[in-house]
This record gives sequence, C-alpha cells and structure tokens, in this order.
Amino acid sequence: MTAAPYNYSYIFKYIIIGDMGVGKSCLLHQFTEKKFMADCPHTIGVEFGTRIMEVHGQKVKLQIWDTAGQERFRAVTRSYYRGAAGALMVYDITRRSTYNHLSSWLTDARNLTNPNTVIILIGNKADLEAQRDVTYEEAKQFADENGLLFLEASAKTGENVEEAFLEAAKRIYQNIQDGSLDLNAAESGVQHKPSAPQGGRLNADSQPAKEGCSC
Amino acid sequence: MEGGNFGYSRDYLDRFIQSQDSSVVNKFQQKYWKTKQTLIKVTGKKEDEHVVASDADLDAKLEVFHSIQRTCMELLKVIEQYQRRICFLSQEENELGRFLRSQGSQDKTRAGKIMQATGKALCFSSQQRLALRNPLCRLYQEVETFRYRAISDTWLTVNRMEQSRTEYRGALLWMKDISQELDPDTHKQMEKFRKVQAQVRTTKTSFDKLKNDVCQKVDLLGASRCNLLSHVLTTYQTTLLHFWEKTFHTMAAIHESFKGSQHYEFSTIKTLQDPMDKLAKKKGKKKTKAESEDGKKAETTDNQLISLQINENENTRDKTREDVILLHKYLLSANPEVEGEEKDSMALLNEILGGWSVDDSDFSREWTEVFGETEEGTSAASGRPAESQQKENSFFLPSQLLDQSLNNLQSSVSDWAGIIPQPVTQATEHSSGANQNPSKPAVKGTSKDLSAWFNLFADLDPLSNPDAVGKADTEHELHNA
Repeated sequence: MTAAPYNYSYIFKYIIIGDMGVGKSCLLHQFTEKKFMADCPHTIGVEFGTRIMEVHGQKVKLQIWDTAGQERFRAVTRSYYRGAAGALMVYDITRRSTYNHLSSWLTDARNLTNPNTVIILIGNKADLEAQRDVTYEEAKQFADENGLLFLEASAKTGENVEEAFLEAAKRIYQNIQDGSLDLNAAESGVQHKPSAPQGGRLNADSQPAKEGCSC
Repeated sequence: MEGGNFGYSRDYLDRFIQSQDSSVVNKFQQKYWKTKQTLIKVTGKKEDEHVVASDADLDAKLEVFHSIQRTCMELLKVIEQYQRRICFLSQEENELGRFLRSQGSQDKTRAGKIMQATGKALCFSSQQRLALRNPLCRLYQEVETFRYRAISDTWLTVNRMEQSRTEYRGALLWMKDISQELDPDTHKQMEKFRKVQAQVRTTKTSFDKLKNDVCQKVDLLGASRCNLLSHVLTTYQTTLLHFWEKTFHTMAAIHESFKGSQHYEFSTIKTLQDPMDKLAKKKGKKKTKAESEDGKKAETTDNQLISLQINENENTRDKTREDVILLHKYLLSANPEVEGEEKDSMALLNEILGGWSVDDSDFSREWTEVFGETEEGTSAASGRPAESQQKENSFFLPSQLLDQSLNNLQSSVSDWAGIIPQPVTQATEHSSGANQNPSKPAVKGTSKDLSAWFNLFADLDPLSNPDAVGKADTEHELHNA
C-alpha cells in the first residue's frame, strides 16, 4: 500500500467468493481499473484491490479480497472470510454448476463471517444472454430466501458492477447507522478512520492498490 | 508500516534488500514446509480434503498405472507357468501315445488297431501342442520389453510428479499458515504473503505440468498395452485353433474308421461307475458288467489299472464312439480335487487316485458336466461327434492348466496309472477369457485429447526399436518438455 494520506472515513473489507472461472478477478478488475481482462490466470490464494467510493456523502475505502475459486485453495481461502464486512458471492449464469454450488459457498460465508455481514449474490456474464443457464427469477428467489441482495452483472461490459459494490456498501453503512454493526467489534470488517487533513494528495475515485491485480 | 516519508524508493529498496537477505531464509522456509508435507504424507495423516479432492482424476490415473504394473507382472508369471505345463502335458501325451501303440501292436484284435491309431494320434497331437510355445514365447518377450521400457519410464515420471506434488502441497500449507493473519495494509505481511504466493505459483505450475505428463503417459501405456496384446494374442489364438483343428481331424478320422466296432467295457474304479451306468442306460444297454474296484484309498494306489474288457453287447456303434471319447475326456479332463500343492509324486498320485473315491460328488458332478456334453453330443446324428469333439477340446482350456503343479507328475511313474496325469483342473468355466479378453479391447477411448496418440498407435510395435517410432519421440518430448 502506498503511504498516501487518506481522505476516507471508513474502510470496508469485502471478499469475493465463488467457483473457479465465474469471473471474480474480472469483476474486481473492472471495478478498480474499469477494464475487462480477457486472459486472467488463476488466482493463487488471494489478490487484493481497493477503491474509494462515496456512500451517503461519506468517502469509504473498499478493501477487496479476491479469493481463489479452485478447490485446492479452499482451506487457504477460508482464512480470509474473517472480518469481512461484505461478501460478493458470484456465479456464472451460463454454467448451471456454479449456481448449484452456491449453497456450499453460502454455508462457508455464514459460518466464517459475522451475522451482520452483507452478502450480495452476483450473476456474472450477463452479457452472454444466448448461453444463459440460470434464470433471473430463480436466482432472485434463492437470494430472497436467504436474505441476500441480488444483481446480475457483466464484468465485460461493466453493467451493474459499480452498483454491486455500491449496494453492498450502502447496506453496510445503513447497518452502521442503525447500530446493528458495532464498529468496535474486532471482526466487524469495518474500520473507522478519522478524516484526512485537507490538502495532501487528493485521491481520485479509483485508486487501485499497487499490488492489486497480478495480471 | 515502515515510514513512507521518503516516498516509493525506500520501499523498493527495502524490498530489494529484504529479498536478498531472505533468500536463505526463504529456502529454509520452503524446505520446512516441504518436509512438513512429506511427514504428513508418510505418516498417513489426513490431508486437507479439498486438496486431495482436486487431485481425484490424477489419483485415478495412478490407480490405473499401478494396476497395469501389477497385471503385467502377473501375466509374465502366468505365461511362464503355462509354457512349462504345455511341455509337461505334451510329454505325457506322447508317453501315452507310445504306450498305446506298443500295447496295440501286441493286441491282435481290432482293438489293437484302434489303440495303435489312437496312440499315433496322441503322439501327433503332443507334437502339435509344442507349437503353442512359440507365440507364448513371443508374448512373454513383448510383455517383458514393455515392462522394462514403457512401464519403468512412466514410473520415473510418476515419481517426479509425486515429488512435485509434495512441494506444492507443502507450499499450500505455508500459504494457509500465513493466511491466518493477513492484512493487506501491513507491508511486512504483504511481503511475506507475496513470497509464499510466488512459491505456490511456481510449484503449482511444475506440478500441473507433471500431472499432465503422468496422465498422458498412463493413457499411452494402457493403449499401447492393448495394442501389444491384441497383436500377439491373435497369433496365439490362431495357433491354438490350428492345433485343435488338426488334432480334431485326426481323432475324428480314427473315430470314423472304427465305427461298427465292438463295444468295450472299461473296468474302472467305483466312482466312475455311475457315469458308466448312465451311459449304459442312456444307450439302452442292459448289462453293464463293470467290475467295481475297491474304492478304498490304500488299495487303489499301487495296483490301479484300468483293464479293458470286451463285453459283448447289442448296441455297439454309439458305445464305441462314446468310449473313445470317454477315454479322451477321461484322460484329458481332470480331477478337481488336487489343488496344486507340491508333493512328491507318489503322494500326489495317491491323492489323485484316492481323491476320486473320497470326493465322489464333486468329481461325478464334473464328470457329468464334461460327459453331459458328450452325451448330448453323441445322441444326435453323426454330424454331432464333430461338435462334441470340439466341445471336448474347448473344454480343455489352456488356462485350466494354470491351476496346478505338474512338476511332480513329471517325475517317473511306471504304472499306467501314473500316466493318468493330468492337469488337475478346477471345474469349469475358467474360460480362456482370461487370456483372450485383453486381445479384444478396442483401444478404449481414454481421453479425447489423445485421439492423435491413437492414430500413432495404429502400427505401434513395442518390440521394434522404440527410438525409431513416433511414440518415442513424443515420449521424449514429454520427458523434456
């Protein structure tokens, strides 16, 4: 991380989880770099990305952990859930199997994060309508049954990508406001930073961390 | 976090220095985790299920490989035994033939002629039988070569893969350990993490490559073995069929020429009496004047002779035919009793002969099985004898030889009884399927990627210089890639 002065009030830790190849790294890359990465190598363990967004007038830094989806990394990635404020659970709408595995991902997420963690379901690759294998309705139903936010997005076109992260952030912020999320709790996933001094480097909205994407 | 007052350059300097210093530390750490993983593997501790599950297909391929290894060894042993026993059998057959001829020449009746003719046929058959050894020899050599070259080469690759897998899993353990406390905002931690990540990445790449190598090689191995077997076993099969055909023709000819001869009644030991009765009844015989021997073990041993008795009966033709076949079957099939243990010759003989009376039911069951076919066969028109002969031959399956030890029978036994040798067979359907099935397999579709490899196999000859064939080149590639 660069040692630039910060001008955000909060840091939210996000994790992105889901089967291998659903587009987690691409979503992250699209979000932080506004570019689509066609040839992404498999994530080894975890990769990081950050961006500062404005939520209800507050600047919030999102610290995003893009975890590896390959099964062999499961034990490793389980360590990363701890202290996450928000979780993006991603599946691929063109591959039914990735949707079917959601329950196991959800179980992990519920077990390893705190009860207030905001989980948002993302159906990625929405641009590939022709190969759709999972309907919007059934996924919406699944999300509703489990108390999850839901959006279909496309890392390629950028559709709904910002919204996904933003929605989760809004919900987290709301939780903070109404007190259900205790900032002082150890693993809330939220860090409250004092406001940065005026002057100093002004960070643009997109401020990807140096070691963010390995691609 | 180290002070950022100096901007980027200090960070980079820090990192550079750190990476230099820590290369030894790095190596230590790598070694540590690799050793830890090795320990886990060796002590058989339960590994992380996800890591294991992700290697499921590889493990399946390894199973196939081990099975190929094992079965090749077994095949070699079996071939060796088989060859030996063909030899023995052929010898015994020859002895019998000669005996019949000598006895037959002394007998002035028609029976003598039959005996002589049969004796000649047996001698001929015994020689023909030896021809079987050639394809078997060749099969042995091919499988042996296959083992020395192809299997051991694959074995080397498997070992390298295992090494790599241990390293890789060790690195994963390390990563898991370091992930427990990870904060991207902490420079030092991130450094460590990057180190581990790099280690995991390199070991993963090498492991993945070797994994592919192993999978491909095992597929290749299976396919080439199928190819090998189907080539060589065809020869063997053809030779076998020829052998049977020739002997069959000979026997059939004898049988034809002796139609209308008088009926023989064997005087046999007691247990053989039942089938004899059945035969007699079936043919509508009234009198069966077989003498019943004393079934007791002690008395059957040394003095056992099968004496030929001419018994005048009405219906002669069928009976004669049957008897000749009876003789053959009797001689060629066997007592299911003996389990092939090593004994000295007399003891074994005792057991065989004694066993007949002891284990009545088993033997007569088998007898009926054998002769049941004959009975059905011969009850029909004369066209059938051919078939029953065929059945007789097909019943006598080479693979049945496998279950015994003829070593002891080989040693001299002067009695006629001793020549009733035989391959003690376990009853039945020990079909030669065992030998011949491998020859059937169309090269199974292993993986789609490998269709090109299969084309390669269209004319693969394992015995030819492997360095010459395309296969070797690609294996060489795999070796070096």
